[in-house]
Amino acid sequence: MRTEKIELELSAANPVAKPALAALDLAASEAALAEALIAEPALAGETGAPGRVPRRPRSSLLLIATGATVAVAVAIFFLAGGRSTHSPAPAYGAELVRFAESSPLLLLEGPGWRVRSIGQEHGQGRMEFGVASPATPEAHTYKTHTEHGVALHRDGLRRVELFWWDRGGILKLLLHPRVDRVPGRRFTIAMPALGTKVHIDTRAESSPIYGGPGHHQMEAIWKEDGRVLLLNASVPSLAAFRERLGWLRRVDAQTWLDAMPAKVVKAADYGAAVREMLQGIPLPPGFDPAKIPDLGLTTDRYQVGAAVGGAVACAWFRHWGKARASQDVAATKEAEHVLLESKSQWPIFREMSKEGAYPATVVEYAKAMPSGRRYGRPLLSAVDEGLGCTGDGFPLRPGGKAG
Amino acid sequence: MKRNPGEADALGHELADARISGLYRDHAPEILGYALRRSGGTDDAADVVAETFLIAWRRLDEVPLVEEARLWLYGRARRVLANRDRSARRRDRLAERLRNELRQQLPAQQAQEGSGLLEALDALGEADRELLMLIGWEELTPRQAARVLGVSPLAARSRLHRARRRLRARLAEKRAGNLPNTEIEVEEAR
Repeated sequence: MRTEKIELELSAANPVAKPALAALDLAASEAALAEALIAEPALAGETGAPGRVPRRPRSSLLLIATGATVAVAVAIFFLAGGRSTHSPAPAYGAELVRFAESSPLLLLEGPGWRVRSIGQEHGQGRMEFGVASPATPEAHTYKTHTEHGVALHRDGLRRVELFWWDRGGILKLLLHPRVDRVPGRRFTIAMPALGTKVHIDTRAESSPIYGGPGHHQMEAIWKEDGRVLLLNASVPSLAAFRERLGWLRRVDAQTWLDAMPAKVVKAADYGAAVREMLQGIPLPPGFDPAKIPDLGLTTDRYQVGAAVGGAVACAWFRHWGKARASQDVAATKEAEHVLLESKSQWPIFREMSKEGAYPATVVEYAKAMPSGRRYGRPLLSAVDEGLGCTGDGFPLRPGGKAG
Repeated sequence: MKRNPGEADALGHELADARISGLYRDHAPEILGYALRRSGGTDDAADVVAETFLIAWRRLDEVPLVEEARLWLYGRARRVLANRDRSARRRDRLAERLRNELRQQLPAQQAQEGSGLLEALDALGEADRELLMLIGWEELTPRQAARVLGVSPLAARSRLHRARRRLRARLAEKRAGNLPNTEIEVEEAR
């Protein structure tokens, strides 16, 4: 009897087939698991969270667009640039304050440190703090290798990042099967801060570039107001990390909003910013600007621009796909022309090009339109993955699911 | 999930809760299938699953991440099966709930009839049988099965080759109406 035949016989003799197991509803027993665990002793040797908080890039395009390091892949939102000298109006309406309170009202109040950028989407966000002058003499240049080349970073020691997730967000990250996890990561040090206990991982390096002498990436994680927060900094020592942690202050909504650089779109201004950014952008037939959601979040103008420009670009790629399928040469050429010119002609893309590569990436996709393929893949699939069209509610094919 | 109030390190526990819930959702059906295929029935299988996940909870720091977690759980379930004392049925609510659900959702295990393969499989030594079942029923690769059994991939492949050969021989004997009991003793003694 051949090996294949004995394997088939063995498989056929399986007394509990997979479909029967797949049909089982074990949801109720999951609750029983929780009840059973209550009676169990605590985790042996537990000194902190048993796993690291994983990191998840949102899409390759956003990473390209912002020049973020792949190694610091939590960077869902990323902007370069310093604080503007323009001060926002000091008074904010109650609704605006309410929006602000949807974010953790924390500021890093170290000498010379300012908010550089903020990016938010539902359930998660990121703030970057920076200092204009070198905070420590150890500041140096390092490189990261991204899929599109080498990115140079010169201010690793002058930057502190604060990430947050709501409970649902952190669960998704923890349970995501493909998250970037680093074996051996442990939050082994606990210390009081901000009136609670934070857990510190002193070896948070996810790439050797952070592991140079006197240069360690450390993270602190804690929970407040139903959120999980994570502070990340490259520091020469644990003492330096603790110092940065000690600079964190809870502030009121107005102080927090006052600290935002001018390039940040306040939550209450989000809808108006969307409408303003649509000015000067040619829209494809049937495009409904009202479909661009008003997220009502305080976030960087670049991110709002990516939402607006991305939505219109997605609509043009969809228009192009339909035209190509129906062999409408004129419509195909029109879409190609509009997208190829987007970086130089769309006002918001011109503005964004000074800070990141989002517009340039849209043009890269546009250049692939004549062939209909990018790196051997169907172009619309590549665009959908890169721009997140379907996920943002702008499917590229008729009947494509949104959301 | 809720734990005892007042315990220190609430965040650590919350993350641990999330992890064990994820492990249960992702792997409970597989571990249940593993237990059902090797135990005396649904009640025993429920006990094995409950025990396995309680061990996972106690040793959560040891549970590997992602795909390796499944193999770790198989390995624990295997030890639970080997060590279990059927007279000492678990009294906790997970085992009870699982038993009730399985009685309702799964028909009583029917004795397999037909090819004689199960009898031939029973006639093999435990090590051979377990390896063949891990690959044939749990659909693991030889390398994954090696992890569960705690042997090297090379040893697993070599053992698999021999186990298949023995199974073919036992099956041929069974179909010829001649299954010697002496061979069982030889296999078990190894």
